[in-house]
Amino acid sequence: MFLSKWWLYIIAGSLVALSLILLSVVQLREKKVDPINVGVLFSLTGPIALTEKPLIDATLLAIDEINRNGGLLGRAINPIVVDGKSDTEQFKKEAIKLIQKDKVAAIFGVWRSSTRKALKDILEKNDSMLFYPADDEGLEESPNIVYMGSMPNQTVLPAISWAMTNLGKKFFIVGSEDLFPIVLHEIIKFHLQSMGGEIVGVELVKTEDQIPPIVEKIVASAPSVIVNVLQASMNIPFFKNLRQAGITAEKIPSMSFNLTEIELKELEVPFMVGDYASWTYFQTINTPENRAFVKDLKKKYGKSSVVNAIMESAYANVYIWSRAVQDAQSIQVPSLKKHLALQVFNAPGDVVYLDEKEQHAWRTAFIGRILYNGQFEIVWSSKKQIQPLIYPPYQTREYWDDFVRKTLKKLVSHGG
Amino acid sequence: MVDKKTILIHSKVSWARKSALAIIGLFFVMTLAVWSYYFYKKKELYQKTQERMVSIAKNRSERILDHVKKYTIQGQLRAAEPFLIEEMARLRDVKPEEVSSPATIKKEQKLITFLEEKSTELTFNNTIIITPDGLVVFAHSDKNYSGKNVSQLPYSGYALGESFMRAKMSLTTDISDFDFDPLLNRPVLFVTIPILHNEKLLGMLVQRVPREPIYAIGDDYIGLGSTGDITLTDEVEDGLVFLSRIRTENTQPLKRFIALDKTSDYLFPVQLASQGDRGQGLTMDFLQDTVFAAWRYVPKVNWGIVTKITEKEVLGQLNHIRLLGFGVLILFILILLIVSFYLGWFGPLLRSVNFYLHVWWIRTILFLFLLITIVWIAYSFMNQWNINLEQFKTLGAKKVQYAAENIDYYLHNSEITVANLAYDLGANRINKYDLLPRIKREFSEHADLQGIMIAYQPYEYSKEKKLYAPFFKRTKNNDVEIRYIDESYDYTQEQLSVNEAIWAHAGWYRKALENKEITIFEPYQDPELYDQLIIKIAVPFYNPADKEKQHPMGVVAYLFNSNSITKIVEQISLGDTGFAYLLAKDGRFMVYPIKNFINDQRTGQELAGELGSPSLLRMTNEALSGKSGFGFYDDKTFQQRMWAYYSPVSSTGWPLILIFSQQELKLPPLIYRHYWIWLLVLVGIGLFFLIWIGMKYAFITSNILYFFILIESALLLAFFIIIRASPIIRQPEKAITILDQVHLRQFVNERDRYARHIDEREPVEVPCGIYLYSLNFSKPTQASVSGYVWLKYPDTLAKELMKEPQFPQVIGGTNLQKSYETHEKGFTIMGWQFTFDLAQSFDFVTYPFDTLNFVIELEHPDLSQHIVFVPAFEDYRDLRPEKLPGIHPGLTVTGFGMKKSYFSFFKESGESNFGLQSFQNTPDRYYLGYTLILQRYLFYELIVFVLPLFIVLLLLYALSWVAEKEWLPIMILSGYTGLLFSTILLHRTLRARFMTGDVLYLEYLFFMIYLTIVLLVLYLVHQVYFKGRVSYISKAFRMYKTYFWPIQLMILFIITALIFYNP
Repeated sequence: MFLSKWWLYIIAGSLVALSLILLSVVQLREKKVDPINVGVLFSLTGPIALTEKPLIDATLLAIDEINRNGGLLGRAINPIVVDGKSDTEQFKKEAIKLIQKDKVAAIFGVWRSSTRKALKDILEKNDSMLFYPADDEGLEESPNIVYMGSMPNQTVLPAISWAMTNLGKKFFIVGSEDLFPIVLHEIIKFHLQSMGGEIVGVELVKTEDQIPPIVEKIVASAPSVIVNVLQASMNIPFFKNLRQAGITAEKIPSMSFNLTEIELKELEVPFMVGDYASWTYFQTINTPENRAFVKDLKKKYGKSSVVNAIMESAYANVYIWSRAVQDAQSIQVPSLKKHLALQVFNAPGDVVYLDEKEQHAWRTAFIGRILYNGQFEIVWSSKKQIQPLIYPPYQTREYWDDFVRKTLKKLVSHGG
Repeated sequence: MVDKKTILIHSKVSWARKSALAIIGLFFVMTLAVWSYYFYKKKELYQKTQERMVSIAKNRSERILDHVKKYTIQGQLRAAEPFLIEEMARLRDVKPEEVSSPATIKKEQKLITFLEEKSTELTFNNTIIITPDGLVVFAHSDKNYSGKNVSQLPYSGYALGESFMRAKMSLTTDISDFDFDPLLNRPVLFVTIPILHNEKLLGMLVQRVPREPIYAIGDDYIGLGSTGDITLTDEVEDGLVFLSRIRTENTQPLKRFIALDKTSDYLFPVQLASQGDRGQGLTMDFLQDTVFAAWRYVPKVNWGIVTKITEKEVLGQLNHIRLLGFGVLILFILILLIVSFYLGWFGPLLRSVNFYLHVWWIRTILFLFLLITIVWIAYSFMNQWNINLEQFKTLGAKKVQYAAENIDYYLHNSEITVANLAYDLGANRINKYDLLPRIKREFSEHADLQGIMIAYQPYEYSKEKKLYAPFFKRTKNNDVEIRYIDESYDYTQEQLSVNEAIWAHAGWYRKALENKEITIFEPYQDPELYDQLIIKIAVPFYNPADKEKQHPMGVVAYLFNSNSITKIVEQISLGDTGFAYLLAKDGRFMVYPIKNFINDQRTGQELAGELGSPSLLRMTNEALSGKSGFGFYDDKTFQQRMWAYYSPVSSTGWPLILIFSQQELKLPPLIYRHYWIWLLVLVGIGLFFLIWIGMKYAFITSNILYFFILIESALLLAFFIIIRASPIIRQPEKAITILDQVHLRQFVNERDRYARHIDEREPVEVPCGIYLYSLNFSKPTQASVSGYVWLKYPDTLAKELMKEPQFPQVIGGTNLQKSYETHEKGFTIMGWQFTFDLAQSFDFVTYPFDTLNFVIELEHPDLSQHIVFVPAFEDYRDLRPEKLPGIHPGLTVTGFGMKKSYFSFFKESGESNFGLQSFQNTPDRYYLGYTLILQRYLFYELIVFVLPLFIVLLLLYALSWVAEKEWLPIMILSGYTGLLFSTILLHRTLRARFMTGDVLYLEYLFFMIYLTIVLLVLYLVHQVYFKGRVSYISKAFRMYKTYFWPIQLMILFIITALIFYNP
């Protein structure tokens, strides 16, 4: 006999053992692991969908990237995208559903300050986390919100200071009748007074028909700079009226805090060429990281896609959350909160990190001039991250809390 | 029946077998246990080390943040002091000229008194107070800043100025960059705190954060063993600057820079940390060591921190277990062998092995396996070149494409800048009167912008009619000068006279109008703009209502210099020789390491002609036609093959060409040698197998010994040929060989870039040439040399500067006589005749197969001047190392053949700063060296030493056989003694020639003879005293004698392999 029976037994036994090992390895690899649910809450419909839809793209891009690199804690991230329909009540309803029914580990979403404020109580009551991407007026802190956008001291004050040095000292402030513009107006007023600037007019706009008389006032007061905190849709009529009145960016430039590449892509660009805006990110930032980010986004969402600062913050939010989860080795909110302080991410614009006390981000500021192609030419950068100040330094915290309370009350009485 | 004795023996044997089995089992278990423990501990140690690295990185970054935080809080508390606010309100309006006035000093005194009172709780002496306008009104210890306005140049560009502006603009406490401050002449870190009162900004209180505690944190190696380190780095434009010192280098903080390749797939931990990443693991650090590292980003200060320890040191902790493991393993094998021998297991064991080895198919399989291995090694040896080529090609393509993308991006942005002004002009947003401020803004925002030409209204457009056309030019003082093109020449004409075409370069106006869109023109050298290479971008402008672009209103053209593009191209490198250049569409050089190529308007085709290379010409033409590709050409000047990857910049079609030498693809001599050694060994074993197989089929029947001897001799001979053919030239650590002007420029540019990053002066180049007339190795560590040396000092150098060379290796016979001094082309040329003895560090270990590199080091005597001698290549006719540039044709060196001569740069050891602080500040300081490679003539050495030794060996062999026949021990012993005496004499002669502490390769041959004599004498003694009774000794010696030559050859082969494998 070629092989003795003992040899046959040994070979057969080894083959059985090997098969069992292979089977268990394969089973282990294929073992279903529940994904981590996260909520992506923005408006897909309604008037602010234009601004919020791209934020979904940026959030999903980051989630995709993490999933492609093996997920988080060995689990895939499952984004549950819901529509806030540009309505605060709908946002509240969807947020509750995401937290209570879908048991999401975190919510990435919301653009408007008023919506964020409306969700704050829900988040705190349910101890759930919101990663908020937009710039905000500050004057608020919550252990359940991560504020990735900039504070007024990070973009608005540097932009006003820069404008004072480079454009002139007379300012005309115009903005929509909403909490964010009103608070900015107040902060800018203090800043200009402190720096020796002059305010030649402050106007709040609620409807389009209010614009022509405001433009007349601008012409009459002949400011050096127009500070623009109008909501996106108001920009077309405002700039059209300005140009019709003979005011070009060369004559009286404007500094906008609500106008990004997204709005410029949708609006009639030439009206704004030469005007300025201040953000924590511009698509034109020339770094290898940003070039790769823009390339990836265009690859996924089409060549005509553009990126703005809020999208970049939405993208960074996912990474900051994932890093905190990695550190905590848990998706539970109490553990997560302990690992948020000083969490760092190399975002496309620059490195961002959360403050050690409040969950606001340290951000680098940029001032850009609008180009004829709807992009921004960067004319100034802080070069380093600026610490977020929730309460501007001119007044006490009590003053600002009182101011917000009164403003909100006023807005409600005005039907805002 | 079994008798009692048999039972006793059996029981004894059985007991012995059981004991033996128990011992073997015990050692087997011990071996397993020790090795299992080793691997368990190794895993545990890896994990613990990583955790330790993470914990140290976290701890050190927290300590840095705490240190900065302490000063931030102190500063913020101080900024809120009512007295300070009051004083600030008074000092806020001080004018620069009043800073030192008695009144201000009085006010300052009050502040000092106040701050001194607080000195116990505050580090008062680091405080600076600045008014909102940027005027420093108080600086207690940093006096240099008093009266300076930090919002104005140059101070606004310093760390303090930038921090002040950020804090002022955001009204937020700011932490500055940790940077070298030229005014204070030291690295600084500031915390700037705005002082606000009654809704007014009163000024800034700046707290300088002491840097020593930061260095101390960086130097705190507790928990990092003897090789661990902490690096703090800051990312700059194209690399990293180290903020603390590196443990293994005596480098000052901020004086160490590493350039980083953005196209690299591998990022070092220092780079990952600085760009905001974090992680840990076994990785390779920037010093190319394998380390356990943890890296993270330190927020607020924005530094990268890396803690690391070498893997070698970590594993060193387990050395004792590993040694124990090996010890137990050897013991186990020994015991197994002894017990097997003792209990008679050996025979069956060997028989079974013998049986299996004699089974024909096992033998054949083993042979085939060997054959496959040989083929595989030979294939990978041959293929290594292809792998290298593929790697270089991929990497080269990546680098070229990355750079081409960068150039595209730059041009795209420049186009948009031009189009933006065109749009404003077309839309009538800027009129003639608004133009100048806008032009000034453009100049201030775009450093590369050198001029703007505009041809536009108020004149009505007509293709034949001149328009009003101003030309705005940036002057050397950064002012704007206006001239009018329309007054100089008729730019609307197709053809222009030579004079007219100087800066207009005809067609900018017409071509832009024809294209109706943004047009990038071919670069040209513009005498109007200080002979800079200018890239002109022109665009016609239309009224936005004119959607069809039917009625152009004029043309605007921007003139950019090529500085940014040059920088992008100059950063491309590949291996030791790779460099890149950029051509314009007409073939002229836009960027090339040798600047004269650009100034002389030479073309890529001309270069190909000069190098006598049709392949390069073909590739250049292909590249110019917009194709990408990869190929090689033969450089006739250097007689070497060069490889090129070329690809165009997509927006302009300018070809970007990366060149590298084929030398890069070749295996290093040592690897090359390794391959050959393994091939030889395997071929040798394969031949033995072949003999074995041959024996089976009976076609090898005669004495197998001859075959063994023949194969071994052939292997040894092949080995010597390989050693001779692939000499390992020992270069000093980090020596950079410079063979031509291109690589010299590349090296110098890199050093200049380094110097700028660490705020040091760029080294001053002094071309230097050398010509040797005689060379003689008077002693093993000394060479007597004579010849000429000449230096070319640029006229820009100070007259009183010491002008002569210094030879630091000189140990005697100094004779340096100035022969001539003349002045040519902006240089003072001085020549000296020299004769002296130079110290050399030759390595004779591999004698007689040794290769010597004779080196002459050259330095400028005044080390504080930062003068670097560079090879004066233009003074040599043929630069190919094989042609021995710098060697007089009549020069001969006894016993040696001259193989190559070339210039190199050697890195200073950094062991001492020679008392000069500035010297120490620059860690990578290089000095010039001239090297001559000499290879020993073998023939002479073979006759003198090797041949006698082989004769001695032959005589010993013969004597040992003679001793069997003629039994006269005393005569035999006399014979051995005589041979020993001759060998000792020869050995002494060799030692007298090479007084070195090392054992020379040839000495092993002596040792072999000594050993042979000892063995033969022992055998003789055994034969005399024991009459050959101890059969196994007799057997062993007979065996030794029978296999005398195979054994000697094998020993020699093993010794040679061990010494020359890694010499």
